[in-house]
Formats: sequence, C-alpha cells, structure tokens
Amino acid sequence: MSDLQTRLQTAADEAAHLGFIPGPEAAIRRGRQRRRRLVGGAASLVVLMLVAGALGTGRLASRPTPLAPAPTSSTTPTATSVTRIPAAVTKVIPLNVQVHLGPS
Amino acid sequence: MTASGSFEEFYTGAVSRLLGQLFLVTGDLHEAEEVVQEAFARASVRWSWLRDYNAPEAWVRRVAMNLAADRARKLRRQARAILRMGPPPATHEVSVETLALVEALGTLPVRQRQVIVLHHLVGLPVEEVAQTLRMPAGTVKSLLSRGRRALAARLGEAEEVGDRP
Repeated sequence: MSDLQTRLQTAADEAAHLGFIPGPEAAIRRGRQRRRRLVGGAASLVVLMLVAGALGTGRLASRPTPLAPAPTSSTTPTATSVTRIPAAVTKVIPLNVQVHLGPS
Repeated sequence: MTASGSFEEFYTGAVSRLLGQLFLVTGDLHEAEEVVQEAFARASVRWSWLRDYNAPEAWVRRVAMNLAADRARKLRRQARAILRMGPPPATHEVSVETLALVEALGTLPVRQRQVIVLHHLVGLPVEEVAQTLRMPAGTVKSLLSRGRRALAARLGEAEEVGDRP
C-alpha cells in the first residue's frame, strides 16, 4: 500500500499548493466573530426567556380571581342533641278530639 | 509536538498540511478550505489551553474531520441548492492522477475516506485513528479493509480504462 500512500501524499501536496490559504489573522477574526455570535445568541435567548417569564407572571397576576365554590363540608352533628321542654311548661292540656263517622 | 508558541506560528506550520488531508476527505478544495478555516477559527479562541496540548494539530484535525463528516451528511441538500444556483464556480486545476484518486475516494463513504487518509496519509496507527474518530479499533480496521479494497478496484478500473487505446 506504499503506492497508495505516495498517491495520497502527492494529491495532498498538490491541493495544499493550489488551495487558498489566508493568513492566521483571518482565522482569529473568524473565531472572534463566531464567539461573539454564540455569546449574543445565548444572551438574547436569556433576555427572551426573562421577558416571557415577566409577561406570563403579569398576566397571571392581573387575571380576576375565580369565584370560590361553596364549602362542601357538611355540618353533621357530632353529638345527639336533646330538645328539652322549657321549665315554664308545667301543665299539659289533653286535646279534645271529636270523631265523626261517615254514613254507614 | 507541543505548540507552546503563538497561534500564528502554529497556524502557519499546520494549515497547508491539514488542507491537503481534508481535500482528500471532502474531494473539493473549496470545501476543504472552509472546513480547515472553521477548525482553525475554533482553535484560535481556545488557544490559551489548546497550546498546552501534546498535539494541538490533532485537535484541529479532529474538529475538521467532524465538520467534514457533518457537511457530507448535508450534501444532498447542498447539491439541490447548487443545482438551483446554476453551474459551479471554476475549479482548481489538479493533475489527472489527483483527479482520478479524488474521484475514486469520492465514491467511498466519508468514514472510509477519513480512515484511509488518517492511516495512510497522516500515518496514524489504527488505535489513534479510532481515538480521533471516536470509534472502536475493530471498526477502523474493517473500514480500512473495505475502503482499500473498494479504492483498489476503482483505481484499477480507472487505470484499465485509461490504458485502453
């Protein structure tokens, strides 16, 4: 495979000779631009998230409070209640009930 | 191979070598220039710690190889865009032998091209190729074997065709 190696080397040398190679300052400039772009993108994403969060919170705060539902807890007696006859009632009058029988 | 010097020195020493290697992987000189420039741009902003690496050139090469593989995946979309844009710009004039080699390499999948270039041109052992491309050594061996076989067949065919009167 030394033939392959030689052919690869020849082709690579030819390409390196023909190719456009800018100075190192071009790579440095491009690197800085790329970093600025990345930092700018990240910063705008953070700002966007903060704005969205603030807007969301504002909307939630200004929303009218929903009507509270009626309490569902029932007032079940916890102990048996006894209705006492007031002490003032001392006399019991028997009812005079008349019964009319119908036609037989 | 530490590069304790300036980025400019490192760049000047390595850029043409990497351009040649990436040309054989991408098959296109403009594409190789773009990929190598992007890799060096990324290296330039990390130079403060990259300079202490044993082989910063290997780092740049790996980034460039990954970029080349990413771009190869997008090739179909790019090809459609290029077709819409019209004829391609004038290409650099390379020799017939180089053109045949690049065409034969272009028929291989990008991973096979990468292992062939890294192993046979850069001279990395199989383990280092595996490290560079983040794949098992067995896969590298298999890719190398298949790639070499396919390349030999393609180049053999091309030469047979060329030899015919």
